[in-house]
Amino acid sequence: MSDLNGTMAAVQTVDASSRLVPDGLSSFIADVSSNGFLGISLFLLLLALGIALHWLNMKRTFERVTATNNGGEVSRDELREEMFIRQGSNFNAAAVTAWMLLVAAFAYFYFLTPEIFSRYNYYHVPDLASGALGFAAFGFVVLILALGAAAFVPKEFYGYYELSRKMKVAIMLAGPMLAISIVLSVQQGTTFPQVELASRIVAFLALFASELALLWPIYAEALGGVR
Amino acid sequence: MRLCIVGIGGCGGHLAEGFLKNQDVAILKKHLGEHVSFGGVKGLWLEADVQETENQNFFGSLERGCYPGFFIPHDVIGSESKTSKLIVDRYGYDVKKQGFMRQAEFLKAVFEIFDSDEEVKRAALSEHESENPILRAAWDRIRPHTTLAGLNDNNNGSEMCDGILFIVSFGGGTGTGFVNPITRYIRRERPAYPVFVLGVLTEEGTDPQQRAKEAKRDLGATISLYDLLTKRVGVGVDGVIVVDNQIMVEKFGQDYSAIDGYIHQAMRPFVAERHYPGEDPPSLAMREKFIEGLDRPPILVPCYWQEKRRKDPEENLVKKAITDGRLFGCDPAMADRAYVFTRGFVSLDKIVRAVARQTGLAEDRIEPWRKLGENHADEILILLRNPYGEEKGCEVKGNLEYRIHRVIRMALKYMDDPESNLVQKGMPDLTKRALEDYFYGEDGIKMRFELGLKRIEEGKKPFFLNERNVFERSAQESDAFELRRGDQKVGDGEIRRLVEEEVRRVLAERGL
Repeated sequence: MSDLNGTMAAVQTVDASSRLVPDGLSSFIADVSSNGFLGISLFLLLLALGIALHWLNMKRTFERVTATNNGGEVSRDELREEMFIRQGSNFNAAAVTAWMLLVAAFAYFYFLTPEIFSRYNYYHVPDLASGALGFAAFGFVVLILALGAAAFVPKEFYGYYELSRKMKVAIMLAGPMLAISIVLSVQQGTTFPQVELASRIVAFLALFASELALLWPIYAEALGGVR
Repeated sequence: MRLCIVGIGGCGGHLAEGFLKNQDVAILKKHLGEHVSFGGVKGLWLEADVQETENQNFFGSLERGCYPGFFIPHDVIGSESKTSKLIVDRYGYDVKKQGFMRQAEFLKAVFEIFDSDEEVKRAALSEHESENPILRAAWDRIRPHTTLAGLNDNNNGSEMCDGILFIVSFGGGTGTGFVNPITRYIRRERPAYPVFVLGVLTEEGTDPQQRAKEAKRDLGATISLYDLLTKRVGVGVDGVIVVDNQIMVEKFGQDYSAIDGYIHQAMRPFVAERHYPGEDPPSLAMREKFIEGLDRPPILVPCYWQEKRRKDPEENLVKKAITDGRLFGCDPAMADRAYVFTRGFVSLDKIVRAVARQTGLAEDRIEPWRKLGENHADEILILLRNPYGEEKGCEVKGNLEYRIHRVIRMALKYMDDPESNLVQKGMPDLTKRALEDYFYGEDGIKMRFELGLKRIEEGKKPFFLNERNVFERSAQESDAFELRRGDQKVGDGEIRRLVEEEVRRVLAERGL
């Protein structure tokens, strides 16, 4: 596999990104997108921050309700029940799909080719990588992980927030954006060892923008609560 | 309380749209799955004018299974209907008429005919299996959304509404004319079911949309308000929430969609879910609070305010709502109760104390209901009950009495105008007599409106007293009320015999 790394380093990359964004910024994004540890840390940090802020939002709501209840006891369960709102089945379906795609896009972006993690990737399993159903098997593993994420995330996260239609549309659009990210990552996997930097950057931006969109209701509530 | 929103007529439809808008997102403009409205409300639009329904694309036809849907109640009467023919021949009214040209008395008269004329009832019963097929059909479309739904009503298993909010304009059209008969009809089945009306009083001057003169619209408004406010509790509605479009126009200009949006926003604390834990009383208990101590429905003036969330928001919220957020002019100090709906984090005690300070009401006359808010804002809707009754209050601009006094005066002016042609020449004598009597008779509404003006000037509550029907006298004069058993008229002798038998039975039971 180290040969592959060497090959990769020797690859002539096509820097089309300079046409999309200023040089300095494009090279910065290129650096960040190809830095696996930084990317994964950022991805996990955003997720962890979302979970922490959600917990904080719930705690803050409970405290505010308790504080305005003249010392009367407030049942957490009852409050959670009252807070919960139905967001609609279209939205729920779109949100579940988007969360699944987020996990899939993340895995495809970082673990499909050896470009970022030379020791941990799909190509490290030669039987799988050279098999006819390799991509499908990789996708299946990702799907199992994604189902785990989707099983609790949308209800737990979104049911307790009043989401405007604009916010719902943004979350819904995360699905197509993530699909684009996946397609571009798959393209990278197909053309590897050739690397097309522009598609890599677009895939990276789509992945992180979608993650932000999916978590935005929690961040927005937390930011507003600080004021 | 989860409300079933029923928009009636053009204005009612526009406003109901805001309440019933799907909060879910559409994929390729197709809403799959259940419709999710703000506050979990359900509802429909009742309209009389087919053209109105064709000029919009929010409501689909209920008959084709659409939701949210519109329904044209008069469509249940076929064009060859014997009932319809009988009413045209005897009374001169075409029940299938499209729109009502701002004649509030038209629908009132039509539904009274169904109520009072035995022959019309029998014809309707044989033809439509209901004595009042139009109202029956309308109620059949509303009921499936409510907790009164029968086993056969298809509500798709969704949560049902335990109260109804009719939304109408008091402009003399379909809403004005339909709201009283349909309420009365529902009440016969369920006297205690919570029913409220949100009525929009049209602005002063000529209505640019309908080009209807203010005086004509005001006659419709006065007739409708009179009918709503004079029905006894348990027969009529449980509260009439009034909005003055004059205030809205001064705020938003002629931008009617902004006005509709604002009215909807103001009512959100009333219809919202997400109650403070333990503060979601049963709808019947809420109804009791609204009518407590009254024998007639109250006028409820909404005062609304919203501001960014901040520490201790209660005092400012209440003050702003009462001073700057009134949707109908009034003197808050004259209110006899206040119902407070908040969204956000507010203290129960502080909000009650703030309302007491701003209105002068005793704290035990203030009913607060708190809900959780959204978008880091606090909101308040205060419904002031009957905030009028000051002597010469009608001379104070900005008072409820001032506005209502003007509306009644305009209505009287229209009645006195020979061009109004309220009793049309081509109508059958029976109808002409009834209308003449209804409008101008010695106990007619003209006299009653004048009495209402006097009571307003004297600061008396309520300003309208007793119900008045179009056909009540005519019906009594004719034999419409004669007792029948099947097709046989029941004679005086038989009635006497039945009463004597009943008296004997009761006496025997008591051992006398």
